[in-house]
Amino acid sequence: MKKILILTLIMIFTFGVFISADDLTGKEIISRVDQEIKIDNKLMEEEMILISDSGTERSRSLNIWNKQGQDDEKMLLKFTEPANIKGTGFLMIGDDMWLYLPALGKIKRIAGSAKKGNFMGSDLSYEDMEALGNTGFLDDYEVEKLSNNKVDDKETYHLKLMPTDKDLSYTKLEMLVDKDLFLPVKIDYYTNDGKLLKTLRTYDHQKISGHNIAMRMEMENVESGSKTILKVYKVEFSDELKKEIFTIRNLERGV
Amino acid sequence: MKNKILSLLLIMTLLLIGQVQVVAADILSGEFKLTSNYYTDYENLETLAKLNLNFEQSNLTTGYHLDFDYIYDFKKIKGDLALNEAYFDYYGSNYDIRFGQQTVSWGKGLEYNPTDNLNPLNGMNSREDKEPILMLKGKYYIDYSYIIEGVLIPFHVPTTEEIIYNNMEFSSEPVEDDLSNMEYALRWSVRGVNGFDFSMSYFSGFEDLPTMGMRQTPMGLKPDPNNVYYREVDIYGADIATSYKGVGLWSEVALYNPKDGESYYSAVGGSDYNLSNGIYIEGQIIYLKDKLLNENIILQTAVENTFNNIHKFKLGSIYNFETAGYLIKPEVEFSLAEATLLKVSYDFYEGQLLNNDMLSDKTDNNRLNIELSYSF
Repeated sequence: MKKILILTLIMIFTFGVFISADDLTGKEIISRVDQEIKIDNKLMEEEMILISDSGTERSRSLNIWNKQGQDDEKMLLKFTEPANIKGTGFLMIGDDMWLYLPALGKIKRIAGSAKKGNFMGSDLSYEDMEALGNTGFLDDYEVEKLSNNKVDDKETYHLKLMPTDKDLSYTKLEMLVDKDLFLPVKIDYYTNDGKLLKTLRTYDHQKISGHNIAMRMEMENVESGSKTILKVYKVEFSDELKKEIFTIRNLERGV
Repeated sequence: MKNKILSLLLIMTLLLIGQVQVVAADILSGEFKLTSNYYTDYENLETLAKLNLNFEQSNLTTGYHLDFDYIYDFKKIKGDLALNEAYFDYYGSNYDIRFGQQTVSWGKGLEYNPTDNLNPLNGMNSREDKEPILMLKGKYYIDYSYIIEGVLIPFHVPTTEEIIYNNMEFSSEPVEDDLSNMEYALRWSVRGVNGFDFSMSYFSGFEDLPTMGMRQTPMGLKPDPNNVYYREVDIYGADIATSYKGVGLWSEVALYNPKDGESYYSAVGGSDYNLSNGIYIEGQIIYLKDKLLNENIILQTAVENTFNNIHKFKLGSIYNFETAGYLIKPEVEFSLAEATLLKVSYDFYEGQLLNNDMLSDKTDNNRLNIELSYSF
């Protein structure tokens, strides 16, 4: 009798979890994705590999600090290699962005439209970097759940994201989200004329200090044939990244 | 001479202080550059090889920087060693101090900055780089957004010591090295307050270009070639930058108030925008009135883009409404390998670019420039 009761409870629990997982709305799924992306007090050491359509590769090493502020997100980025761009820095606090070019010895405020432009010659825009590294998607997109898919033996949610802000670069995103990790495994970015512009794929997902992180991301520009690979070499989570890190002083001097 | 001795002393001291605890591990970096300029109007070719070396060390509280060039001219078969910047840094809890030969860049404008009057030009052309000079600079960070900056310049370093009058060259009387002649500047700047960056600055010192005094003659006031000197000047400056609906906007203005003669001012207003296809466009209007009260209204534009992900293209132009002179400069930068760039540009001048009797921004400077550089 006791065995039957336990078995019944297990079945109800399993069924319940199964139902609840599939019952998640698009908004709930993207909210979970944002939770994974918006990790506070994060330092990452990355390599950015730019690949032209002819296959020529150029590599850049960079450090990125992220912090979720009360009213705004903060990001400081410093290039450490190669020598000709070493020391170049980028600071973002909310909608304010500044670039430091060591050769000019000057800090330049970046126009808001730069968010749509290529980030340091890569296939990612500032807007992509911001969404994937810091701000997530929920604030800027309305989400619709399309179906469940299977990609590389992974169960995924298929979502359609429509921008709520007309100033965003894309008219539609289609995202496949890993059901277990709640990380995007693929995002298709569409432009005004409905054409597919770029595709992001993420690989090598690891759990570090309780957070799911994609250690490799590949953004392919479908139109130009170029590609950018972002490899994460080191991730550190601090209890409290000091607010002082995200300042003009550190943009110029280095952290 | 005095500056060279001071710089030499500074280099020796910097080299002796090599034991600071290293946080930034790289001590030596630099660039090797091979430059060829072909002046098409003179059919004149010059080829220069430049080795730039930077020695840098810093920890949490101190640092130093030493940067010099060795330039070899293949035509003249001659090499020169030149010191660029050499300075110490001290980082306090909410202040930084930098002492030594350095360049300080102020202003929000693109290439031309009316408020940037601390370093002299490195040559008699308004588009030359600034020459690093001996300064003591302090920055006090009131908080994350508000900064007060002060600069002391012990000795006046001019852009030139000569003045040309009636096709004859006259030497100027240098500014005496005296405590009362010490130049100084202050700047209060604000970053990221309600989406704006702005600053206000004040400079007290001497002009970088000499002035010929006037004398009373029976024919009235006439220039006096025996009285060539640097005028004392107070410069009040302000600049602002913001972004509105995605468009970057900036403005910068400076009022020059010399002790002798009329006040004059210069102003810049510009904007930039990034198109969704990756093209970056920028433009600015410059109103420039120089010490001889010559007026210039200049439109400066540039369009930039990358191609094949790793190469860059830029088309720059300058047009002076007062002289109808212009410059068109296409520039292509190829990334040949990691940290190896090949830059090809052409300066096409027509007419006089600047309405100025002293600076030599004139015609006949058309040139093809090829640069091969490797950074390490």
